[in-house]
Amino acid sequence: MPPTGWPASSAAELLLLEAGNHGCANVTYLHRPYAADWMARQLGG
Amino acid sequence: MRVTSAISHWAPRLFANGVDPSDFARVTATIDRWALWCAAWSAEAAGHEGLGRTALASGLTRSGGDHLARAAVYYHFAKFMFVQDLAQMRAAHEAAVSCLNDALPHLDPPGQRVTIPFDGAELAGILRRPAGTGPHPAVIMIAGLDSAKEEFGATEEYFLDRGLATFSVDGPGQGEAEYDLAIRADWEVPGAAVIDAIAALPGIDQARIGVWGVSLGGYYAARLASGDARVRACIALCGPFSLGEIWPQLPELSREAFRVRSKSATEQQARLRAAELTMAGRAGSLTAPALIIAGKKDRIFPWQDALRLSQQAARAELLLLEAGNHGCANVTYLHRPYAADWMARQLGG
Repeated sequence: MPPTGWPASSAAELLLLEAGNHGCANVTYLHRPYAADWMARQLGG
Repeated sequence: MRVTSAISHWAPRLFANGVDPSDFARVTATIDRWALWCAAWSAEAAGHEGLGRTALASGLTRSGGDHLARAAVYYHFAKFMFVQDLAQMRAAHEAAVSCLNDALPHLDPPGQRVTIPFDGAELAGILRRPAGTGPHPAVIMIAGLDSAKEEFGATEEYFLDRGLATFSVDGPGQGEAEYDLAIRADWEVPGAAVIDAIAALPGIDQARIGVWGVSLGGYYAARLASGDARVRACIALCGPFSLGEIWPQLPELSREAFRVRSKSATEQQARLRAAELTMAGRAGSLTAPALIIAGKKDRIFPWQDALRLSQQAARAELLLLEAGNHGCANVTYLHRPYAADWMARQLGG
């Protein structure tokens, strides 16, 4: 848990995809591997 | 007209082998004449290549391998029929080869590039071994008129998942060999060189080798199996029985690609060369178990050719798919797992 007073946004990263439709289903290669790598980094996979 | 023809004939094939359908719609919407095909797809491929190289530079090897393998597929399809501008075609091809080579260590399972001296040139192939210590049975995967080893990753997975090694190879007139070696009918000759080479590789069981070929590669696979007793099982997917007989019905792009890759000076000469690619008088020598697959909606090679081969081969099973187009690329779920299970049964995967 972040310490009290830590801005809620500080731990967040925004991946905003220019061409992405709902679910970014039309550009899966831009977020699926990225998200899996991100999660593996967080969890030490 | 050529763009319409290419899209009409090949869209399901691109999807089946790794092109994202959204990319396909976006890229093909920008191509209003055939001369733009290679550049448009190469530009799209470069984007995927960039994702791969960035990922690798960040140590994200699995993502890097995936992106680069996809880039290789896109560069390959930029090149596949583009024989009208050989310099542009070759640049796209070299990028395809380079991307796949750089992806190989990061695939699961990884791949290994193997080159085989043949007829004063060399044949390049990709060996992938399944999990486990082996020795593994192996499937030689043979391309057709305009396919190449860079296109086969999606199909390789089915064999690998069933304990079979894969060796996707560019033969004469195909992929890396198409600049030095012309298309040839007697595939038992280059096929023997390929079998000699992979049988000597560590972890491969030389007594359990099968072949799989698609489109014109369906003919090559059957021809190889009819002339080399080391082939224990053969899968021919949508191959012709006698190319010369159906020459006039082929799309213009296919006839042009055959003329260039058979190193024929004229279309007339190409037609004579095409007539050499026939199983007439050879089909009876195909005595290994054979799975012959065809689609009844195939507009390139008629399904009746598969029926003819299955009737003349000694131990053939015919898998005829009602809705299947050329390569049965629109119904891969009806033949890829089936074929891989069949091959695993034959080779004891």
